[in-house]
Amino acid sequence: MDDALEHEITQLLQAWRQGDERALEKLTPQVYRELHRAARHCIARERDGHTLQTTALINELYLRLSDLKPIDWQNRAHFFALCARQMRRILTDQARARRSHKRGDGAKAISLDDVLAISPQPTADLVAMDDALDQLAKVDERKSQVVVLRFFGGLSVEETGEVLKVSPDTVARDWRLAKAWLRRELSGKKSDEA
Amino acid sequence: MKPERWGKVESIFHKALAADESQRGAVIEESCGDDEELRREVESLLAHHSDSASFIEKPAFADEVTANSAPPGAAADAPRRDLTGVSVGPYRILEEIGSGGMGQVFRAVDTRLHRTVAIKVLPSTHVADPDRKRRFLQEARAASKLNHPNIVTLHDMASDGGVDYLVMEYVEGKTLKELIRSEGLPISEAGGYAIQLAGALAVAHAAGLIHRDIKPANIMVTNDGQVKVLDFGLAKQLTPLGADSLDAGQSIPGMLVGTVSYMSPEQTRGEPLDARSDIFALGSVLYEAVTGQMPFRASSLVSTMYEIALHDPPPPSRIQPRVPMWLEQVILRCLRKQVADRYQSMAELLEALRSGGVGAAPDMARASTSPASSIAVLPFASVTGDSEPFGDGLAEELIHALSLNDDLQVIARASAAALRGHGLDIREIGRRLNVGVILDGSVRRAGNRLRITVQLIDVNDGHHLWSERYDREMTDVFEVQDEITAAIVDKLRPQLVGARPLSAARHSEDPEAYALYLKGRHHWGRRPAGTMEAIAYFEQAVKRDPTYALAYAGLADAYNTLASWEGGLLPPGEGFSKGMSYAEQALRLKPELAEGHAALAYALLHYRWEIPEAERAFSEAIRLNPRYGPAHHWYSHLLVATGRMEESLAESKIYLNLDPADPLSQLHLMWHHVMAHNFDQALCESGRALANDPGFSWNRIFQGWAHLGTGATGEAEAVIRKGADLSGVSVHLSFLGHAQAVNGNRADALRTLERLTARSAERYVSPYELGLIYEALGDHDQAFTLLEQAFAERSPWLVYLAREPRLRHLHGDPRFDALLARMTHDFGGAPAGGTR
Repeated sequence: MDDALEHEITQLLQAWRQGDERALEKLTPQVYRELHRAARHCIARERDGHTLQTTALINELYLRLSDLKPIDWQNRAHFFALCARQMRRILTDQARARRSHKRGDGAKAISLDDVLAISPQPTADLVAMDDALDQLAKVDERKSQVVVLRFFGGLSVEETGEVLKVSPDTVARDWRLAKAWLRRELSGKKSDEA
Repeated sequence: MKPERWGKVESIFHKALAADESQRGAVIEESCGDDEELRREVESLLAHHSDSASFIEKPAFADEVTANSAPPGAAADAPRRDLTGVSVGPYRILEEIGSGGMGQVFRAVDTRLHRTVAIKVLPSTHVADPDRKRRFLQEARAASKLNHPNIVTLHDMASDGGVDYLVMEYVEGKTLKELIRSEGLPISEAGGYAIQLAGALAVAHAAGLIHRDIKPANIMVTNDGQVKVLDFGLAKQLTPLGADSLDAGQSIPGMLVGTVSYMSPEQTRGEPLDARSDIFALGSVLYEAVTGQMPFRASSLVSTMYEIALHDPPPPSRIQPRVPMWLEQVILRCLRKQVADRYQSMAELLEALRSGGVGAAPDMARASTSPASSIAVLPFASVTGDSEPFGDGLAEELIHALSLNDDLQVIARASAAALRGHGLDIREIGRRLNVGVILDGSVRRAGNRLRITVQLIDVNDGHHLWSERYDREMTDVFEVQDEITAAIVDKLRPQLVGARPLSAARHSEDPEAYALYLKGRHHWGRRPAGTMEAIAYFEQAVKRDPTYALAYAGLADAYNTLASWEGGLLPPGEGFSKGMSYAEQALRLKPELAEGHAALAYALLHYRWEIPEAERAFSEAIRLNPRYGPAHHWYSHLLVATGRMEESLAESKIYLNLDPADPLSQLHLMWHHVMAHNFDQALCESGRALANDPGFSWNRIFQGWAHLGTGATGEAEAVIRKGADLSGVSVHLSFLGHAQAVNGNRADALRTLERLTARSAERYVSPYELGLIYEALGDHDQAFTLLEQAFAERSPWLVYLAREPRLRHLHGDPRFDALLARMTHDFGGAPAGGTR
């Protein structure tokens, strides 16, 4: 990772550690950019295939970030939170790109869509989910975070609680309500599109 | 929606959910009152709640880790076909026997050959692409050439009516996953499986095939204990690991990311794999087999990967105490994060497993019913007014006699002794030492009368295989030993030729001298603390029998110890001169005495600095008795002094394997790592050693030494202080003063220095030890003056001059280089400590 970017990411991580939640907002696109580069790099390296696993991406992410010496990555909660955000971005971007590709207006550049072959969720669902999560965040920020961590990050209830500093019970309750809310939101969206 | 209104919605929603279904309407009614909008909101959310049970419960990327915790079938979204009774080509399908990420598996009969086969039907999506299919075939073809009893044979691969399937050898048995119990498998059983598995993989690797998906579910064990590895050559094509491209936009329902828990770090990163990834996976499997727990297991994919990438698993013995130390080291080495730190080939791993002594053949793996060929002899309890542990030495002599049977693996005395003190029952001791049988006994001595009772116990079921009582005269003691040895060999291995009755030839004909010798060895076993008592007994023994070679060797060992271990209770010139002359005396009396050669070599190394001569003497000792632990121990010292760290590690491990629970063998491994500057490894070993023996002061001192190496001076001072409090010998004070000084506590360091200097007025204190404190205080002139004095009197620790991490600050000083050059000169051409 180049020095300027590394410096910027380091500063943002430090700010985040000191409790500045906005730093995380700024951090996400930076790391994403870095990850994207890593993905291209991996494709170039692998003659025998064009996919990059989700696990590989997460680990690549970890490796990039662990290069940042001043940051104590033993902090699992931060690592998980950042991963979940990245996963959300990767997977929804992929779904969006795929959709536009279907419509025929996608430029034929390498996107993560081409390299990530893992998306058991139907394409439209993920895009709609992404939008719905933005809506949910407006109503109840924490519940949207719970969904990002659980659904995109794949975290367990306990791990989600660890990240958000709330009890597993609270996570479970948030999760229950968020799911119902999103289900309603998405069933509406789906019928709109149909 | 306003926050307070949303808060209301939320609380009513949860309240209604908590209520019984029939009461829900009433709860809502009561809570919402006449707020119609609120009521509609809550009801609509509740309605959507009822059909959101499985909604987004699976992460956006599916993975087996989470799928495992989901109800059965939740992950298997792939279309399942009921093919019972259907004929596919010449095969008639009988029943489904399993299904997974790689498709369904059926038991079938080959109607032409009338044999039972297993048929694996592949999910159509996996082989749809012609290019992909071609490569799949290629890989399968290569796998089908693997002809090994521990690899499931691939008979055929064909396609019928659009269904692609593999035909394989049908194996009756269970998968390792089904066999592993929550507390793990017995060591011999797990080790037996591991050896078969490693053997199969070694053959495959030699043929250029990597399995890539070794996990308990892929390992079958037949009813008679034979391992069969499944799915060879399929992993690459059938899982997304290093997978080929799938058509963009094509979503594969239920597609799994693989079993993350057994992946190697490089595998989770999607990097190219080689045989060492299979080694990692085998380590994971073996870990789970002996402990019942996966080494890396967290509640989600991300956290599991985080564990694999970052954390070392807890040592297996912490979960399952019966896991022997050597096996733990083998497992942990397989699980190293960096491929270069693991075993580099399956053959190397196989060798490590075999030399650890776990069963090799399938029937050995299931040794639970037959008496195993490994034995531990517990120190005999002394039930007598005679306060000295005569029985301890007697046990050691039996060990020696038994060791002469090549087919019998005998665990050395100190290991058994260390465990005896823990109040464990015999079967537990047996499990910890990983032996099949234990010899326990007691000895009673009254004047010239001797009563020995012995019993041979099967560790697996606690059954007494044999017991006997001998009432004899003291003069018959060797005869009794030989009888006992013969009886044991007779019980354990009827086909053995029989123990060679060598007791009498080794020992004095005077039973009293023999008894004194045994007591001396007992005390020397507790060195450095017991050294003075050991000398007293050995001296009495040679006084009674001036031709008693072993007792002279004992004296040599004890004086060598005095001149080195305690920081020299005796000046090197005095202690080692005695050590050498006693060793020579022993060898004059009995030239084939391993103990004599080893003692001589020790003094040649540490005092005469004659490396080639010392090495010859060590080799001779090891040749004469390859199972004599101290010879390996001290030979490792020579290898460190000459910078041959790999060889030193190998010898240290042999020593540890010969005597795994001996505090000294663990301490020595720590020392090796400190000298190799692997301080983290040394700390890891020190944790283990301290857990086993927290009261052994040297464990703490060496732990502090490792901390000094890493620069953690605060920790170093703290643990060294604890060690020095346990036993304030000169070496400990030297460590303490050094640590205080580098930790910035100058005043304390000066006080310690003063204490040590004051002591030197009363008895010998090595200038080397004093020099180390001056060095840390920054007084390099005084440090060099003292090092020169140490050189002049041939201080033993100077042979490690180049490698001593505490002297790092002197590196680069011309005086240091000059000293090193003179050492090298004296080394007879061998380099002092190698490159530093």
